[in-house]
Amino acid sequence: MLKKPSSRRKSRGTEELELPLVPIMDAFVTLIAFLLLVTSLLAVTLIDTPAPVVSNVPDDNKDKKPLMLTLDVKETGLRLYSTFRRIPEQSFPKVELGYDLEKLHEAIVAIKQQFPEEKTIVFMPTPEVKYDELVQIMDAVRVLTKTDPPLFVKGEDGIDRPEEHLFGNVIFGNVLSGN
Amino acid sequence: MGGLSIPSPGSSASRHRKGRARRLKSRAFGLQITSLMDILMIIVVFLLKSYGLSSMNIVQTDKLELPQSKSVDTFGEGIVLIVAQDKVYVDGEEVLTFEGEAEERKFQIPEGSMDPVGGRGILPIYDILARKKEEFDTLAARSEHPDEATKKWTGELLVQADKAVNYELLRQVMYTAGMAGYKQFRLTVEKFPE
Repeated sequence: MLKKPSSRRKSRGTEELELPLVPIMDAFVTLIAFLLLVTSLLAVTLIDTPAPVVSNVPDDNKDKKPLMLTLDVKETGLRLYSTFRRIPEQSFPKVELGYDLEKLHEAIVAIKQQFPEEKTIVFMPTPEVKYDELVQIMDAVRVLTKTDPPLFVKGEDGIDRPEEHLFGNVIFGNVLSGN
Repeated sequence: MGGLSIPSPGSSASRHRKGRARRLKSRAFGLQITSLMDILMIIVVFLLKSYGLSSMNIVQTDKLELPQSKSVDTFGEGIVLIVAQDKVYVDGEEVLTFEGEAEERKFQIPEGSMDPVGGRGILPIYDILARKKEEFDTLAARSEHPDEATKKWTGELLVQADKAVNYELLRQVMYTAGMAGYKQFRLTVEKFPE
């Protein structure tokens, strides 16, 4: 006896398998609930600034003075200098949009190329400077952008490694002095 | 007799209707789950992408607007000091309320809160930070290896300050924390959108 056309099409060998999607969906919904709970939609990061300390340790390397790069942050503009006069003093007056961060960044890159081992910069802001402005200035002296020339620093094993920051160690120099 | 009549139970018309209802019930109802799964998958991928490995305790309040920074991702845990537009909190505990309206963002410290000697330390902040350090020292002293436990004190303070705060207040806060034994300040900032 001949089979009906519908029966002929559905032979046992080609039976369709259905994936049990409902339990998978349950797992997905649970996962989404968990991720929504723990996900922070506000991306935050940290900028480390150690407290300034007065060192009593005598300086062994008396012949070579440290750079001690210092940045005065005033309402009128910025002044970049080395306490031991290792670099010429530079001033960056305020422009229309605020502090001239582009020129400051260029100057910082040039100094970093000259002193690749140096990592510390001392900030000396005046009391009226806003925290937001300080963070922008810190970015200009810390963060190495994609357009900057590549900088390398010699590792302990003598191999040159790409530098991640310009002057990554920012210290507020007048926290204790009150100047 | 014309018109409709209600079939009596057990009649052939009633049996016919029941059979139809049963057929309708037994017919498989095909929900389009595959497309729903696609949506769920996209949501999961998006959430996994924005999921941080280490969560940071950020207080979501309209009285705190963090500055934006281009710094790379760094996470940290420790004692959190928040300088909002209206109040100062340490680890979620309210420490100080500024004078004036929060919207004005004057951050004026109330009279009598400043250290009379030197005038730079903020007493309520110092008290709570010193207490937190003492608590750590007490726990370390009670541990099996007190010397090792004491060394675990990193002196890190996570500072979450509103972007309108002036450096004067920030310096007073850092000075106070320094006096209380905190040597490393970690400024919490919002990551600049790429």
